[in-house]
Amino acid sequence: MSQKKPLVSTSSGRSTVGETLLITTCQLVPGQAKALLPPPLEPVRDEAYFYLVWATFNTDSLPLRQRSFYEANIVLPCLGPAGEGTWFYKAYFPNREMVLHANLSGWSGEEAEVSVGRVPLSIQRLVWPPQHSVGGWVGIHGNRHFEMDISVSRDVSLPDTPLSCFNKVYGVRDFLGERDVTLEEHYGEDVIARAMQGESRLDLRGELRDALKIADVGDGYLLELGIVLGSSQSVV
Amino acid sequence: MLVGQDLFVLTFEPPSELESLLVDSECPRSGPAVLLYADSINLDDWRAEPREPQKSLWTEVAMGYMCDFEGAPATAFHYPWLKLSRAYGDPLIPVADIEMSRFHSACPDYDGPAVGRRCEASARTFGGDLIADLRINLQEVASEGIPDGMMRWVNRISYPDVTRPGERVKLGLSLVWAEELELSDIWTGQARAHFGDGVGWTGSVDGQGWKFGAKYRLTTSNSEAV
Repeated sequence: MSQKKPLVSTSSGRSTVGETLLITTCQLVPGQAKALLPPPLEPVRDEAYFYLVWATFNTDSLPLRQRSFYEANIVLPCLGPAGEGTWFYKAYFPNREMVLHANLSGWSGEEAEVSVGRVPLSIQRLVWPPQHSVGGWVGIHGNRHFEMDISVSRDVSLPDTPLSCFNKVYGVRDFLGERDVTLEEHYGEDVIARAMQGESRLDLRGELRDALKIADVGDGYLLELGIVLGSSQSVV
Repeated sequence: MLVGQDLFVLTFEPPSELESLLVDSECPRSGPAVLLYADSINLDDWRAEPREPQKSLWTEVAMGYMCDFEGAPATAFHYPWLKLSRAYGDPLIPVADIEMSRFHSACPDYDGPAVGRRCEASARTFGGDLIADLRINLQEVASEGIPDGMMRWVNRISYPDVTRPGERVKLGLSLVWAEELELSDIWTGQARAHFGDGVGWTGSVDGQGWKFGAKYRLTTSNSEAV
């Protein structure tokens, strides 16, 4: 991870993405991570993270409508073939193409409605980072799966948080009786532009609460990062 | 209400066919025609209901012209040429399907507004007819700011009357303006728009484009119906 450097003013042909993540961290009951993770991924902690994401592609080559999107994830930290990382227990996207991408990457993709508090960029310096709670929700056919809000109050060093490996995302796929593990690859180093910590509040739909077995809701985080998009590569 | 917006604006000399659609004879044109797109947030609602951001966000497209109203420059955006992505605060306002370029400050290839950056917007009817596409190529910081009257608006408000087919409910002219206005990142450059069947006039226009951010308190004063 590095600091952002001055760069070119227009898209250079590569796919670059800017993302804002609102994150709630949770403790699971002991042993629950092992019950939820697909082998060969192993638990590192009995924790789950809830992401609400808004993102933009900086490119002129995509249709205007596809250049910005919302996303939500339920994430489990894990150990995989390339060390500590995460796996998306659920990856909620607002259109079928992105759900297809999720499933091909080895995550459990769901087509969903996602709503995230974002502010237009030109006024961010007037109102951002937020001095009040920000949040949103994810739902399917109008039924909310989770909703949350966070209030951040202090800058934080990402390596000192449970999210230090958040951007190393594994997938697990089965095909014709064979199982492989993928790792999402970004071309170039991710740029963490902002990392803040604070409080979080989370509400879950009943089935999700029963499946995850959350023992406690932990801290909330606001992350802003830039990535150069790559693809998921098989690592076993 | 406290509003935050990313605005893309085109000022241009309108072809006569388009001018006849947009201009209200009782609120005459005194300057260029205007095509405006806004990516908007109600900052009061965003703060009050953090878990319901969809209630505070909307986009809009407006087609109109510069005018003088009550002794000061203004921009006239009459119904049905002011359209929102949803009926925000006005259940009878015209709606449209609107998309705009959005940028993220953390994106590795984005370093703010810059020479050559392209800002695009598109609006269609929900039936899919093109209203207008806009493209602005940023060329320079607008050191003199935005034109007078660009953040002071006159709307002739009228609706189809559902109880009397063919008739309209006419509420006259309404003046709306931006108080406590803070502007940011004001850039200008060459711009082109293409209008389509969703307006009723098809063709392209060239003019001066503007991109800027605005935070303000939206204030309304209903004038006498004219």
